[in-house]
Amino acid sequence: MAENRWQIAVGALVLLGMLLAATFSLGVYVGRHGLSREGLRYQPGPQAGQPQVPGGPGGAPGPRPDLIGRLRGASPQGLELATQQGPRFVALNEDTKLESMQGDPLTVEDLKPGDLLAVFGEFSVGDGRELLATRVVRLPERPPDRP
Amino acid sequence: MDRRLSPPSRLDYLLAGLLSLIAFLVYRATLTPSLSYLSPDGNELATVPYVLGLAHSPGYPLYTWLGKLFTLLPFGDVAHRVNLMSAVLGALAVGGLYLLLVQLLHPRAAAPALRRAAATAAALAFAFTPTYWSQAVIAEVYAPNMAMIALTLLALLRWERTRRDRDFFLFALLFGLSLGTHLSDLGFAPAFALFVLLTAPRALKRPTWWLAGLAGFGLGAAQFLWLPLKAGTLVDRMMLARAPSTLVGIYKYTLGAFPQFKFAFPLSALPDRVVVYLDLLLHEFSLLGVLLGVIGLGALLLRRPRHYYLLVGMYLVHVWFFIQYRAFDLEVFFLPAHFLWAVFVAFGLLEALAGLEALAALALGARARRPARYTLALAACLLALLPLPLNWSQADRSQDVAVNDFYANVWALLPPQSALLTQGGVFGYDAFYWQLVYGTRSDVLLPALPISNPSPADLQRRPLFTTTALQGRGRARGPGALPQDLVPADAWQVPVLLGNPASEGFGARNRLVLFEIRQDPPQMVVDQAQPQIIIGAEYGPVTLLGADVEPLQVESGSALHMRLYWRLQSLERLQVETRLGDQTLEVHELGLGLLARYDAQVEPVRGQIVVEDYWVVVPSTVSPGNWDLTIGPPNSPIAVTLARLQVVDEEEAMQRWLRIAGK
Repeated sequence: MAENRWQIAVGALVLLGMLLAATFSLGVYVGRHGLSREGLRYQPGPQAGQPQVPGGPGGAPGPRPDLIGRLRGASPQGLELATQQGPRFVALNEDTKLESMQGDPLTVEDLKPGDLLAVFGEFSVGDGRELLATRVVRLPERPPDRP
Repeated sequence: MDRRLSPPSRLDYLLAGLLSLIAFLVYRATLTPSLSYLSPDGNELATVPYVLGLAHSPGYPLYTWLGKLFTLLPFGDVAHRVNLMSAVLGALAVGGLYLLLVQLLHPRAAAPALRRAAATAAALAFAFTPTYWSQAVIAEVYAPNMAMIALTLLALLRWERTRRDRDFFLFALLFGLSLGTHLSDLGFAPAFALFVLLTAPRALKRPTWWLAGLAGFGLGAAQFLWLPLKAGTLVDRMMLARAPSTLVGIYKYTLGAFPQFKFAFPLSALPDRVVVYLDLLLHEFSLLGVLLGVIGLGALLLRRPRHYYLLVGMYLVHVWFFIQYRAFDLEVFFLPAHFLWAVFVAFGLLEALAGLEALAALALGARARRPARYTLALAACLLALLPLPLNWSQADRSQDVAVNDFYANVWALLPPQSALLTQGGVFGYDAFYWQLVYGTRSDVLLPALPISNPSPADLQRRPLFTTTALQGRGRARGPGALPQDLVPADAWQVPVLLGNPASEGFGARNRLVLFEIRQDPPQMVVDQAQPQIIIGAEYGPVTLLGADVEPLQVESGSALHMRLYWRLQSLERLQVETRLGDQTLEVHELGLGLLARYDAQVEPVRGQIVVEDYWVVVPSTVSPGNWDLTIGPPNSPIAVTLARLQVVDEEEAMQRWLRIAGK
């Protein structure tokens, strides 16, 4: 029993640590995003429909962007988006074209967390599970009547 | 506290079998028929077992050998059989989870009926979580890996009961073998070691115990000798760069693979990564499952402290590693953690059920205890089945035929002695599969298959086709992509066959298009048009004059030849959608993406009649009958009916694919 007590005491500390880490992390998240899952999953809303993006890549069939989501974070290596499927990391390289809805060129520095982005890309051949963005379009904010 | 576990009873084995059967029947009903794009490398993993080759890093030897056994089944095509392996082994893991739980759930916590109910409910809840279900219906490593983890843990619990060296050997062997379904299982080693230390510290003093453990693990891990043995069969340029033919190569191919994904986030991002994981957990188990899991962690600690260290140790190492992993489809990597979370859920559920039973007895009298117990047990099992209807439509892949239908028509259309340029590496297996498994159209050269780095000289005197964009922003990229100079930069890439949208593809993978590569431009403008079907539908400055469609009676799974005649008043980027009944056959840009270049380089198209000439695949899932073939802008009410097609289904899809494959 004495042995058990020690095991339980140390185990309880581990459990407490896990709960504290989870609570602290959730606190940081709520501080940034409020009580909303928008920072993790993009919710287009029932009336919003698919944002239309002019011109698919290369003019080939398929106007649909590969990903649509809100920017969670940006670095020179890539962007992390909150999509309907959850957070998705998209790699960038020197060929990636960042632009506004009107076609004006943008840089990574122009993007800010919360921006709604449409990504066209390809899985990087040879690098496993990494989606390489070929074109990223910053979409306009949704009007208030179409949440 | 009981120090030793009781082995599962005969009834428990029966229930485990029943749970496996239920899971299997569901997975079987929603199984992907053959190839698919749900997983980035699923088509490679459907092919490599058949040819007993070497899969991408870290090689997956056990997966390959198990898959080979399934390819010997006498029905379906090879990809179907490997998909079936995921269903079978995924279902086995569900039964294994139940057997783990009935041993671990403490007899003092509740009556056997409630223990079995909690174990059943947790196993079912895990079986039908969206991510696990999605991996149990395609060729992938994750469901087989869950089966290996379940078997490894069952063997460990067996050793815990018997303390026999031969049982420890079995555990160590299974642990070593499990590395061949996912190398990340190696991260469980510290938790296993701690558990052994807490359970039988004296065993460490026995040389025979050490011998059993080392021999078992060594024998299991010896499967990785498959890597140098098969290194010579690699054709993927990226994998060749770290070919496992030397010790350094083996390290780079296994533990050292994909360094850019590992610990890819700074420490300051940890709170955010934890929240990302919690969100995934919530997505899989719902808030109720997460809360029950938290309660279960406490119950596990109090009732089974040593097993708490085992399971929480495994869980924490796994979550710690993968919250800092940067893969695109992160959710699948957490499946072992979700499997362990299901154990915590069972412990939490049992405490809740026991509490409710006691409450019912208190409120309704001791006589109510028994009926309350069975009512609660039934309610828990039914509640756990709730994800089944909720996740069905998302998990159902039984209609995912786009890749096979497309390639079956590609092989039928390609002229003799042509060359088909495809993506390289794991992404090329939607095409490689046919030639590697069935030798389909061996006259057609797939340059990315036999030649790791093809050059223009390899393609001389062959009609050229491609299923991947070779130029421009849509072309395949990455260190393993085809060389850019393979075809002249000014070549025309003309779509000839349009496949159905592949729902899960990304980039080129959601546009199944066969292009002809030619030096001269296609004939896009004609002086006069005499279409069989006169239409005259106006879309702003663009008028659809008419169309030729043939044949009007079409076999499902085959292709339809379309010729559309447009008059353009200006150079418009109009999206055109072709539908059969309420099903989208394809969406393309007017002029098939060539109009601007044709206008600039060949002749002006304004005021002219522009012809689009292509084939479009009729999915093999279209039911026989008469269907309206309509065309118009996507999601537009102004679509016009081109023809009423009679779809016949004289040949089952799988038979058709096999016939075209050459089987």
